[in-house]
Amino acid sequence: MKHIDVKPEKCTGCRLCQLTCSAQNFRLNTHKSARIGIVPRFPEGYFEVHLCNQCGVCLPTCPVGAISVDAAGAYVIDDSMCIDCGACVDSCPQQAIFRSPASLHPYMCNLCGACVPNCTSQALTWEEDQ
Amino acid sequence: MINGYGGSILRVDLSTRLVKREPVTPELAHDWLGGRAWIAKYMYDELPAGVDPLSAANKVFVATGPLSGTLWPSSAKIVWGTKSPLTGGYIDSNMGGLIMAELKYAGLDMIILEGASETPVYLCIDDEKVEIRDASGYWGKGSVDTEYAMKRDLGEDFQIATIGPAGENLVKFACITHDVGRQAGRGGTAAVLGSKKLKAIAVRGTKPIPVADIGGLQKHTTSIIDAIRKKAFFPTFSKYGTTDVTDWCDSVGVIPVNNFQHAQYPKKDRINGKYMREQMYVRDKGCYACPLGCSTYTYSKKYDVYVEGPEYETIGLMGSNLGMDSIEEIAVLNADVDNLGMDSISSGSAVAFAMELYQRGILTREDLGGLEMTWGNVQAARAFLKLIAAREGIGATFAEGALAAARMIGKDTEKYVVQVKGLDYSAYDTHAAPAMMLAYMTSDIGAQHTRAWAIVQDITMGRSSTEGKGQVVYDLQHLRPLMEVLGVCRFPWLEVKVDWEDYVKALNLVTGQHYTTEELFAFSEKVWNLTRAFWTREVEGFGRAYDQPPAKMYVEMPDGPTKGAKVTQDMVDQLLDGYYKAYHWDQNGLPTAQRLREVGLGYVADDLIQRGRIAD
Repeated sequence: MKHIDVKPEKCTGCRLCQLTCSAQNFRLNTHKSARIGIVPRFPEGYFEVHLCNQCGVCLPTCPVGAISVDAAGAYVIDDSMCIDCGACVDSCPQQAIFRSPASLHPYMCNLCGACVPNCTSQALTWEEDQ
Repeated sequence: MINGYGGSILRVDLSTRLVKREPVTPELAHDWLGGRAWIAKYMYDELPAGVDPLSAANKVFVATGPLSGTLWPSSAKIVWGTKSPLTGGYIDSNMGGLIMAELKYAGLDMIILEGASETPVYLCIDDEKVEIRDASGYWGKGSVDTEYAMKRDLGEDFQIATIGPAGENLVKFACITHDVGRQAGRGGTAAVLGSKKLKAIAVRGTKPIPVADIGGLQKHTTSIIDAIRKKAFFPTFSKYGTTDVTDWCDSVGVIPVNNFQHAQYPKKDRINGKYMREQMYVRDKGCYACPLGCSTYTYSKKYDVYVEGPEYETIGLMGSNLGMDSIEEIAVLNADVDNLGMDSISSGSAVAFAMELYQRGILTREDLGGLEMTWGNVQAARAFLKLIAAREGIGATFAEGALAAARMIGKDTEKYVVQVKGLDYSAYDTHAAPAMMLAYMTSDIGAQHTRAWAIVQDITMGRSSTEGKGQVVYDLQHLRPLMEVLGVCRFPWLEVKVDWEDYVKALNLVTGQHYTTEELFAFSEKVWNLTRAFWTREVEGFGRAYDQPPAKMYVEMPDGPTKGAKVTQDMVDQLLDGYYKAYHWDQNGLPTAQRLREVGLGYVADDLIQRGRIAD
């Protein structure tokens, strides 16, 4: 299996990953519904990139067992089970579980990979799992 | 809902503090698109003829375009326009960053700022909620410092545009700053905001932009980005951005040196993009949705200062044109003017003019506030810029702009100012570049390169030849400004050769309309006639006399690749004749009533006839 590798030092903060993600997953033109987070840090001059790295910390925190791993290795929250308690959001060491008006429940990267080809700075790349 | 648009125009009266939303009508969207076209239209229609640029009756128009904030690559432009306090004519100036998207997410496509507040205020837009708030705590602070402070106070998710002390003090080339280092630089729009006591605009929005075919747009975007990655110039331009052109400008003799007295710089290896990356690189930075990421964020250890850039224009105007030693001197000057809130091009021009007057003994150290304004004296330049921003001593004279300063100083010094219509030349010498010179002469804001950049054509068609150059500039002026109508950056088209037709396709995917290139070029012709009409209305005696190159271009270039080159009046006349002919304007360069009617501006023709500006 493969995962999306993040090199924040290459991120230019353009939000194309987020725009692509929102278009792919929610059919919306916005960067604010994305399953990836970009946080600028200035004047020091860098961008934090928050993306699920499939560490699995969230899984046992869910009180109703709504989180599972799909065939591609992505962590998925079952909307029909989720009680929107926010425990997973709080637990994520990557700060990579998001809420937005685009969904009633939190969500994280589903490894659709739409962002990767649009990241020309190669801050996001596909890598084979070790 | 209109696809591609936030849906509303926000009208803000700073005198009465009344705020209202006006709907964007389908006709306004379809017939005038947005961006600088909206600005040109609203400016002509709403500003009282002859308005004083720094009076409450002037307005500032802040407009996005239908592609601004969309997924389409480099959709990061927002345009600021007003009647310029520097030139007295039409000005628009655009910036990148992220605020254009935020504005549309708040449901807004344009802001119209009217009237004037008596006390410092800022405009806070939080989706539907709009407030005019007290800004006394920010007044006096630097542009960049204010942005950081406001983000701390309001939240990191606000996008903020600010003015600095120069704008507050009505310096006529004060600029607007956003996202640390993105500026709407030219023509003094920030001085108009200063006259209105508007320190900043902060905006946050949550509503996605409606797009007719989001799936089609995503597919189109991904395919264009794939093509961009494979373009020959992509690796270089994304790495060096505009600084890459420094060496080339030096080699072909267009880089400005010591106030355009020379056009080749012996220290060019210490001011180019390569040296900048070696010495100061922190991070590549990209505007919204931009796959090029051409901006370089840097840190100068020597001066302990962060700055976004310098870009090539700043390298030219504040580097070689001031005889500076290295990129670090340029960086600190850039950081200074960014925080003071002044256009780095016109700031460079003002300092260069002062340095040349000092070189020639026309102004003494005593005249210059005790500053020894020798070429390359970075400390003197920094101190001089602070005097300008504060309007202290000699700074008050130069705060009016270099041309106005020359007129105050007298002593035949106007011939040393390199400008057209009062707007200082950007960083391309035109002793041996007639098409580029014509681009400067006829740009609808004054001597700016963004409407048409024609040095390559000068090189291929002949550097002393005027033949066919009018048509070259005409053609460029039709395409490039369209980018600022649509709300996109020109660099993917210009630098990595994304096809123009792909922009048209993106526009149609976003709006659901069926625009054609032919229609859009005809539209460009209308906008160009409208801005020309604005100048005709606002400036008594406007015409050919205002399209003249600076006196320096008639002085022989003493050395370098263009040694011996100079411009003659015959060349200038030939250029203008060809250019006016292409536009169907009269021999004085005024739009004719017939032409205005043909391009759909009958009401403008009637207005200009009634005012006695043009003949029926």
